[in-house]
Amino acid sequence: MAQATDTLPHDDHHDQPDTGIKRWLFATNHKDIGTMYLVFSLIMFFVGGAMAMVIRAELFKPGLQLVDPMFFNQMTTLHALVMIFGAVMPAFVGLANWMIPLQIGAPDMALPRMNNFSFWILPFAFTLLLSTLLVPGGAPAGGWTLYPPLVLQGGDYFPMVIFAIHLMGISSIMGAINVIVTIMNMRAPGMDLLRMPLFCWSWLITAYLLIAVMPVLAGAVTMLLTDHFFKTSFFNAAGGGDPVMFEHIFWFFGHPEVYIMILPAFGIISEILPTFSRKPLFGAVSMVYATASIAFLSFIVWGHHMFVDGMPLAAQMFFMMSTMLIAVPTGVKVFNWTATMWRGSLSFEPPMLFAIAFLFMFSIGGFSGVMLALVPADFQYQNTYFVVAHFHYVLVPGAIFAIMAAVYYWLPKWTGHMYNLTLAKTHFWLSTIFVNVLFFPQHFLGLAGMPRRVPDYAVQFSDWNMVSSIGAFGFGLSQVLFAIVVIQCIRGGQKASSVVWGDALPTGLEWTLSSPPPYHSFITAPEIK
Amino acid sequence: MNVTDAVRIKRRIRNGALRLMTLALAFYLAFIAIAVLRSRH
Repeated sequence: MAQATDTLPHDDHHDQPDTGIKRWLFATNHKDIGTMYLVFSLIMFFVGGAMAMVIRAELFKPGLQLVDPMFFNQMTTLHALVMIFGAVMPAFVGLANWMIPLQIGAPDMALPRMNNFSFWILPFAFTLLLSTLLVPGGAPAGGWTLYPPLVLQGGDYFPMVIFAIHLMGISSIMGAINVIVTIMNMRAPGMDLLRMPLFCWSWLITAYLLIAVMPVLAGAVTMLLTDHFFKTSFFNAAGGGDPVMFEHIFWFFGHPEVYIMILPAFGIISEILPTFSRKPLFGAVSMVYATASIAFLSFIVWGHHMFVDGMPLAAQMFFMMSTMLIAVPTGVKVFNWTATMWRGSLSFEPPMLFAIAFLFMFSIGGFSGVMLALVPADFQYQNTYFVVAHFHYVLVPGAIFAIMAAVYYWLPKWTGHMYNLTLAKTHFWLSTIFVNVLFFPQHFLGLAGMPRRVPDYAVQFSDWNMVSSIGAFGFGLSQVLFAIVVIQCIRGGQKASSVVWGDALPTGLEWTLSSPPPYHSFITAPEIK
Repeated sequence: MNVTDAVRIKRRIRNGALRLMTLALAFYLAFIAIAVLRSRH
């Protein structure tokens, strides 16, 4: 028999956080878990960054000076795995945890205990991954793509890496399930899907991508495991298997993975640009369709990662054209962002600076992506530093700048304090200058023929490598400023109002709450008119 | 919100999560199945 009441009595407890370590260990509150994800991601950003410093230090001049080639290869492999699975993805999950309930008017995520579990898997996964540096034979050194047969010849690290990747996959899938069921079931009354903030939309689509492709990666690495230990021959040509099949399966995961790392960034930029342009987002509905189109296309372009593997001409043409097609919805987005700023009353606070820098530099990565999509051109560019320049432009001033924009946008809301704007702007300018010094010369190196993943190179590549390394050291050091700004802001500072950005008047339910928001965000669902 | 609504939403959340987990498992098994079929053991 149904009983009608206004409140649910069993929800009366847990209105205050636990104290000490228990608050974090047994956290079920979306804000606490979001914070843990973001802190974990920042730590991994510095760990992966330290590896990048080793790589750039070795490449500062030709010849082998600092590390042996095997260790260099371990650094390139771990740098990628740590940055992708440890820094970028958890940062976006942290932002999702913090912001989705606030933006849709929900009290918390739909599955809080699963949320706790999906976070706490990660420290174990990365401890396992990083501890491979200590085992005989060292860490994986065959690249983050784990191509057989090379990876099957690996030492003691092999099962550890496979298990770590499974754990990361389980964590991501649980996070994605949580996002989908929260958005589908816990929106405030009156918030139709098409009235939902763009950040939530981009995460909803990303979560579906995660559920579709993380199991594919898990399947691929499970088969590597059975090939290594149980004498199967999925990818072993001698036993009737096919190593190229691994590449197909891996990149069926790998290409949507690229969009998993950029679609939430698109959502963030779509939140920030309208606020600081003091105009509504131009073409909001077309943004949703463009995001969905990019997600769909991401499943049919994987072959562009393997043009030189040998594939039928028709397949090359298909993958080339489907890849170039992605430029259309991406172009719609860039057009809409530009049109949002057009004749807007712009102001240049740190989140806006990062968002504008994203717009310019992500586009540079997009243009080099179109170049790489061309089969005959790719035959020249593949495996060179041009590819390294391309994906770093998409991921560093793309995804990572968007994460920093989001942190600078919502940090006063989270902590209740305004951060040091001068220091944040200094961080922005140093990062923007150095990131270009770091990655732009890599285009020249690649076009001149310098291969990627090498610890030594011919002398004609010396000058631009030196410039690139100087950019890397500058960029790495600049990120210390980011940590200082964030830590200072958490510890105290000028009180932030609930709207935070004053006359910019950001729209969205998160700004209707106090800064910091109450421990349980919306005990009663807000009415959307 | 009354209790009936809360129970209904709770059921929808649980069913949604189970459906998505099944979907993930299906993708995992499907790709292993494709690989088994394509290998000439």
